[in-house]
Amino acid sequence: MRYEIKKLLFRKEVWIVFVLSIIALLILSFRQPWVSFSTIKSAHMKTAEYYSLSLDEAESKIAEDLKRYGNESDLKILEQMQKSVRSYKKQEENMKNLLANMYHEADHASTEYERRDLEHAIRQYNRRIDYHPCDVQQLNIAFLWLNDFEWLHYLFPLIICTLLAPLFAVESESGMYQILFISKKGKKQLFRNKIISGIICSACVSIIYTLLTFVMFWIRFGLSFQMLFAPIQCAEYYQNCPFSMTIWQFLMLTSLMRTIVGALLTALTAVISSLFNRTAIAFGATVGISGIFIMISRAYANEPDAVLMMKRLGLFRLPILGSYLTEYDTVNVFGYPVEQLWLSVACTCSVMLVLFSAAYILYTLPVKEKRKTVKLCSASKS
Amino acid sequence: MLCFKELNKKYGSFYALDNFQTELDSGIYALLGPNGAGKSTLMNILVGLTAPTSGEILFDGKNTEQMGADFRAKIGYMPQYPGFYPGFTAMELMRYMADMKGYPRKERDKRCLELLESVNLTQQRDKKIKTFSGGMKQRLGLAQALINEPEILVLDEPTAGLDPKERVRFRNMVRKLSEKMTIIFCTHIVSDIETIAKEVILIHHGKLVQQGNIPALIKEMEGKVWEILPDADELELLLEQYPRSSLVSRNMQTVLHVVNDEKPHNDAHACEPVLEDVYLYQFGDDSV
Repeated sequence: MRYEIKKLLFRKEVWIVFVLSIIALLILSFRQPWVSFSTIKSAHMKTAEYYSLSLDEAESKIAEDLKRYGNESDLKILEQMQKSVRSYKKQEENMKNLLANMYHEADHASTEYERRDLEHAIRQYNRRIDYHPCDVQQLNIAFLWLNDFEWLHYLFPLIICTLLAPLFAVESESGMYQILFISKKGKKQLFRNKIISGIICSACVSIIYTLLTFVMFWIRFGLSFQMLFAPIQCAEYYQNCPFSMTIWQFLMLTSLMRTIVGALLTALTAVISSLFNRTAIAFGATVGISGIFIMISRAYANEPDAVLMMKRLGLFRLPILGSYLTEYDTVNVFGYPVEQLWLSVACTCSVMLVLFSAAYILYTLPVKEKRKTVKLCSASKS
Repeated sequence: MLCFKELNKKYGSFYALDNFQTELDSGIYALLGPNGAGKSTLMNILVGLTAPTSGEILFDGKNTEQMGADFRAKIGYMPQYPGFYPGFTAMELMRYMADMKGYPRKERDKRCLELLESVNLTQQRDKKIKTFSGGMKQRLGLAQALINEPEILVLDEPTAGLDPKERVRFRNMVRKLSEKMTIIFCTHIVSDIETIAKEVILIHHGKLVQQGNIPALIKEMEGKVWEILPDADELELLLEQYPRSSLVSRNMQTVLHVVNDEKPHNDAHACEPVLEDVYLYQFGDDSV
């Protein structure tokens, strides 16, 4: 297995793409124009101070500060803070009322189904209000910032395609197939090793990529380590998420979904490489197919039926967790929301299995026969 | 015992192998033929890279295709142009091949070092293959073919890219190995095999043309090899007239060496045939 991984990592282009991705990530994250690092830091400190006061006290403190500071950017921040504190304090009040109502409703629920649903919602809200509002606000900003970076979802398949492109073509291109295919363990073992190596590499890249992204925005927004264990509902974007999940678990889930996409790309690369035996074709085709799928998803973003179909299909859309976690179609017989995500994972895995089977058949065909198959395929197309 | 039975390989209407059959025991068998004669196709079918259109190969009476991994475990193959992963070192490649050939892990490193030593690559064992010369790659190709202690060793044009000193060394090594295994030495360079081959198999247009030991093949050529000392005007004419001819140097004179059933010239005199004459005789225009 380690030899297969070495074959993939030996290439210069892989390291160039890795380094370029990290540089792009750094440049783009620190050049986000709408919020500068000093503004965030200053806002963070002020917010912490104001949130500890009651609404009236906070208002008068902000008014005093407004008189004291003449600096224009500070004034802007303070005005923003004033709005934010006011709205949060109101929300806090609303939330308390809402919770009280929910408790009351749960006590008088007419059915077991309704009671469970309400208890579930109460648990989510309670978990959210355990955290300091200042941290929650920071987390909101951080997630809004993160969701702005759509290209993060497209960069990942590109890295994986660059890494995996030669996985099944390297033997044909180097001429090693002549001695490897006739070895005792032969093509079947080689195929197994390659598939496992592809999945291991995808998993590693996925974990590194996800961790790197999170660590960067965690540091940039000065979030505490504790916030990793806050419920995902703390982030405004995910406040309607019906599932119990911490930020840390969200991070793991993102990595897992990216790994599944990596495995899907491994299967796709295997099929294309087994047919054409060329790294460049494998790279172009996998990037093209995943790119087309993502573009179609975006093109029909405003058509609910199309979005639902794409969501259910999963495939390269899986790491875009927002829609899976914030919207759900139905609840199951136990009164819990149906986890659409796992249905889409099952669908993706089925497609992956079909691709792996096709690749296995193509890869284990005798070399010359395979070439003839390709010729026949192209002849029938023309 | 390796037995090729009525082997055919057809690409469209073209026969790369045409009813090829022979039997091989231990020792060195030279498979001799011009380019495109079907040697590589035969080798590819033997090692399992290509399936025959019809016919079969039997090893000790068992069909090699049905034997699958058991047969592959008995084979060592050095292809014509061995391509390796450029980022691997010689030792890494040997270890990798040992794993793929199912060689026991405990003895793997010892075996790899022994083989690298035997092909004179010990000093380069930790160097990347991309820095190797053609000759070094050929030697590494041989070393990897021997890892699994094969019973059948297939060498496809193994001396291509080797300098004269390495060729001699390679031949000696192959001779030593032939005591324990069947070696199929596929080449179109007669000098590579004339001193070491137990038998020569001549193949042309996918068909077995002739098979036998070297003295017997040479004996059949007696009375068919001629030498002429032509003048300058005649030389060009004779060369055109007898394509199975070559110029050789005898006592500081250029002599025309002709392979022909009939006496080609009044001044021609019969001479001692060599293996190259058998090659020229059989492959005629294709070989020159």
